[in-house]
Amino acid sequence: MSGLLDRYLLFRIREQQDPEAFARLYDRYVQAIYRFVYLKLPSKQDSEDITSEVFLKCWNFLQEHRDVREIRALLYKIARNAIADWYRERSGWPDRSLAVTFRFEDTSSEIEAVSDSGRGRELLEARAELALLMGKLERLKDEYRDVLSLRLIDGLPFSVIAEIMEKTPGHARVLYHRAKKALDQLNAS
Amino acid sequence: MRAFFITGQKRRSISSMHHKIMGQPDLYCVMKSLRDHERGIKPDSAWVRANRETLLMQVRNSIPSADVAAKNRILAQTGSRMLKIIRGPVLSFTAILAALLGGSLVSVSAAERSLPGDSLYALKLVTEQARLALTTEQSARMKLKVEFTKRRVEELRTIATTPVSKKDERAAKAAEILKQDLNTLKQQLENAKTSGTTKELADAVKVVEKETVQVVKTLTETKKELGGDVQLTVSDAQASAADIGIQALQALVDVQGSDEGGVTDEGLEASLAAHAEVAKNVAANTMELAAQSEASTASSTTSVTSTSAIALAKNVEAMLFEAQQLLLDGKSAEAIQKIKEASLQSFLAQKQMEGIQQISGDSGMAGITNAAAISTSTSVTGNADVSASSSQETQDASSASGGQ
Repeated sequence: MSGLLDRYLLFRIREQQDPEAFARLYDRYVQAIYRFVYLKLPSKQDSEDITSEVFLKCWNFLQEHRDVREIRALLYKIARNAIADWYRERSGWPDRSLAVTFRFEDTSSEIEAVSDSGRGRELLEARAELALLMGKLERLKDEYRDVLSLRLIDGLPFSVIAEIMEKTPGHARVLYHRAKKALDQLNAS
Repeated sequence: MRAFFITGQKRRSISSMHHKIMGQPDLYCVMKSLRDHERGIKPDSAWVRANRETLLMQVRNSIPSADVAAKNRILAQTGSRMLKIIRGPVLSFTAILAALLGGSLVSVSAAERSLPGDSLYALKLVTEQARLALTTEQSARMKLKVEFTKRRVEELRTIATTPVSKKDERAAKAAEILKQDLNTLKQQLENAKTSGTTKELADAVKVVEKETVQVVKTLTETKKELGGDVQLTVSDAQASAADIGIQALQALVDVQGSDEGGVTDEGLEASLAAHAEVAKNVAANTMELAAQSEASTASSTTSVTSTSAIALAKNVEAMLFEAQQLLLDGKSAEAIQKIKEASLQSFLAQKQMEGIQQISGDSGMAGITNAAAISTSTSVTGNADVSASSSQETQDASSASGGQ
């Protein structure tokens, strides 16, 4: 059902440049995209900025390209790229160190955003542990790495993963379970 | 046991037990808690509304298709790279990793200063991996790996010499990671041998050779501050580092005479002297340990092992002398091989002696197992033979086994 609505909105945005359709798209996906970017960026402000950017870029992309089929997948791909760009622009390493700091103070008197980043730190570390484990697995097939990354690090649902990888959700799940097995095997050795 | 009666939590607690036993973080548990947390995140509703208005305005402004200039501007912003997200492959894991964690996410000092056992340590390691992944040139990667291996040595040294919590745990972890990094370095060296020689690669191999000798020296100092079990791991690391250094030297000698670097005669002599000194010091350390232990143990097992270790250590001197002769005769390849054997033997002797040290030290039963495994003698004598200093441990061990 959601696929049908998305396709309709896609059609109206692309073919008729319909701002109302775009507004509906926004309403449908703003929370999901915000959630997606939130824990990958240091602050609420950054998350808001990037989320906004994602939707604008999506609109622009749709005006220029005719071969988009899944709008939700497009939104997530743009979001991933935007996050990657955000960090790339700021790293400039090895010469410059990143000016980004996550605020790790966990004082209860602070506003919600800061205490969130106390939890945020835990999650960042957890992601680092994950990434560390997965970093060992260069020998894993590209497809396996992609599905593990999309699932474990990006935290995407299978329906979206399927769209991004251009497979059926069933296939994506199977791939994920195979990838998990291969991961466990490599870990055990 | 309660776990079996709680449905949703059952799998999670069992799998996390399993993974804690295996020593791995529980991947899937972590992921689940990540997603649970994410589900609770909501954007500011005020922002959502305001943003909606802003976006609608921006979008309405970009509609007129007659405005070609505006369109081109927008296109330039999005760039041709955008095309890849549909047609190209999904961003590879490494790229995301590098982008997400490259540079320092936290202030440089916090992650960079962390030690094994710290919560930020994983971040430090991941950043290193990301840097390696983005370095494509072989010689640059080798130098980078050397730098990271030196970090491991430094971390171990810090743990050993400064007051930290859970010292033994951290030291064990640090020693393990050091061994792993050394293995990677060894692998890189082996790969380098099969690929063509360039000046850059030769330079990188020189760096490996020089730094591994330093690593062995630093570890000797650091070892003194550490407890029995860890010492053995560190000795393994030392042996590995020494071996890598000599292999590096062999590789350099193989390219000697070609235009692409290699090593001069004086350089070769100096390097060989450095490696010989390492072997000599390790053998000397073995003899010292032997002298100490003779005074305290009465076990027949340990005396046999000790004698074998001493014999090996004494032989090292002879081998080093032979090596020197070979070098004077111009047979550099054989000289290096001889030093390699001498080095291996000296570390073997040291390992045997250190295994014995554990018996007369605090490790009690563990030490006996180690020495028995290492030494060539067979039967392990009973508790009665263990020296007086560990009789307390023996008491505890037998009462523990009796009390079960």
